[in-house]
Amino acid sequence: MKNKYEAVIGLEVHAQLKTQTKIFCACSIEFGKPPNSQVCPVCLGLPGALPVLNQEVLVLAVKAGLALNCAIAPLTKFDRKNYFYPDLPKGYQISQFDKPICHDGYLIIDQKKINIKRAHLEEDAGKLVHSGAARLHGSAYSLVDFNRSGTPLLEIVSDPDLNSADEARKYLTELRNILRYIDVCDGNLEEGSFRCDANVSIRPVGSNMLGTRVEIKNMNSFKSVKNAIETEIERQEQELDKGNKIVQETRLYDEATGDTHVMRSKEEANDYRYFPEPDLVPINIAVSFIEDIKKTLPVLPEVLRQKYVSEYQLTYDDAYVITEDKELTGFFETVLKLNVNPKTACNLLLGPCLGYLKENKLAIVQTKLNDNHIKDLVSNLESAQISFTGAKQVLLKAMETGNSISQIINDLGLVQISDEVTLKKFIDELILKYPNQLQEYKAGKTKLRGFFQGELMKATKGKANPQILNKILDESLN
Amino acid sequence: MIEIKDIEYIAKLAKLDLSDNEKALYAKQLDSIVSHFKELSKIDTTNCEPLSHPLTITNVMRADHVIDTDTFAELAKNIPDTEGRFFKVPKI
Repeated sequence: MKNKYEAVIGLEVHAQLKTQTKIFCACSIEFGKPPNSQVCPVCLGLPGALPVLNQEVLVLAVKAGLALNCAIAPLTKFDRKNYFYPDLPKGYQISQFDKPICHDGYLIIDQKKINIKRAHLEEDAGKLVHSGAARLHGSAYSLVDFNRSGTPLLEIVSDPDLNSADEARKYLTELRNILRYIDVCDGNLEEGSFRCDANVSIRPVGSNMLGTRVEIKNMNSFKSVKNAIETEIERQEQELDKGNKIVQETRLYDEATGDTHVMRSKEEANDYRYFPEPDLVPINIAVSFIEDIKKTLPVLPEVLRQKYVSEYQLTYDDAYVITEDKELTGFFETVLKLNVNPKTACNLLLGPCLGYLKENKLAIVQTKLNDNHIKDLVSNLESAQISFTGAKQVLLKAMETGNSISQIINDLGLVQISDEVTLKKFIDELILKYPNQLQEYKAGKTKLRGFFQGELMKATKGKANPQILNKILDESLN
Repeated sequence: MIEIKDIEYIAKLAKLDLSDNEKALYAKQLDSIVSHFKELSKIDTTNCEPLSHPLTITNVMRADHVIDTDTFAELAKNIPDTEGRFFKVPKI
């Protein structure tokens, strides 16, 4: 009875903003530098050091807010969130409490609207390395690297509008996609520039009440988010079935075991004693400032998908895959300007091209492929000069060498055989070679047609024009 | 009314170890501060925007330009305990 309960999930995403410097000081935020090489009195919380807001942070946050259909606050301010931990040198994190920069937005997944409650700015903490153990538990002491301290984050909080682990994964994929599109966040999960916590509760199907929620932290990939939420929903279902109550708590996901375990219960819940940050003055955001940023926004993935489906007859799934990659979308758009059949161009890009890019971890702009390659390839396909199988090979070569399509087709000897006389010769040879099969075929074993077809493709090294080949094959066999 | 248990809770959050005498003293002092605020809350603030900063200036920002800040050698002089280029802290 899987559908006795319904899950209610809200997600909090910490997206690292793509600036050069930290949110309140001029230290670089470049990843992978030697420990504590990008620190200063401000991000180390030394007495007397004063924070000053990075103006680029404001631009990127407004850009993200607009792309997520949020209202932008005309007046925003910062607050101190107080807690003690060794990765937080000041003893408080500068965050936003009652006046977040963005609020009341949404994004669409599978035509379902997922509301975004707020998106606020805050500084990241330092990074802890736990000595003598893979994690905190069992370590003798810890080491702190403050390079990450003060890195600008936009915390994006959804409403509890998600009802399954799969929806949660889709929401995260789309959110990451949008932030990458607008160049606000690089969305790199491994480097921690896109992190997610989940609030999960369940309730009987049809109920409007919200169950007790459990927060899950420490999920480092989309797969672990899905796993962790699924595991948590199952755990809560079992608890309720046993007649137990769900306890409000924070649980940590363990990548190795795929399980969650309690980190802290509600009784130990932090009381952050927020208050306005006196070291930073409020920020007024003018309508003209917002309008200027609006003008820089690219067309967003969902809008492009709708266009590709309605104007170019792509399937939604194909349109989705294309728009998952910003560079690929840009490339596809320039190809379309050359009046190329979108469907064929899409098939070429999504098949061989995308496979090659993924395998070699490249963006399309890093290959030697240009829009004219696709145009020429599609026209060769349309005039049946080459087969689709041949086109795949040509495409790969074009990506590697940048040579012209006609040259590659020549080099690979891929010109398709469309000449009926030549093809007939191949068929005649084949019939001589397999007289028994021919008899069986004539006796009614029509499945053997596929055998002849396959042998012919082999004999012509895949160069036979399939339409013409089929026509003459039927004539010869019957 | 601020009670001893309130002081104990705040002390715990602030990681302060207070003696019984101190707890009693601070309860009394904080109580008088809170009562003063009760006095303020009698004022009608219906048409008053909440004050987010005592200064009237806004929008103080800087350009997104990196200043090289690798001063670890100097910094290390002020770190009680290091290991390599890390700050070393006791078991959490």
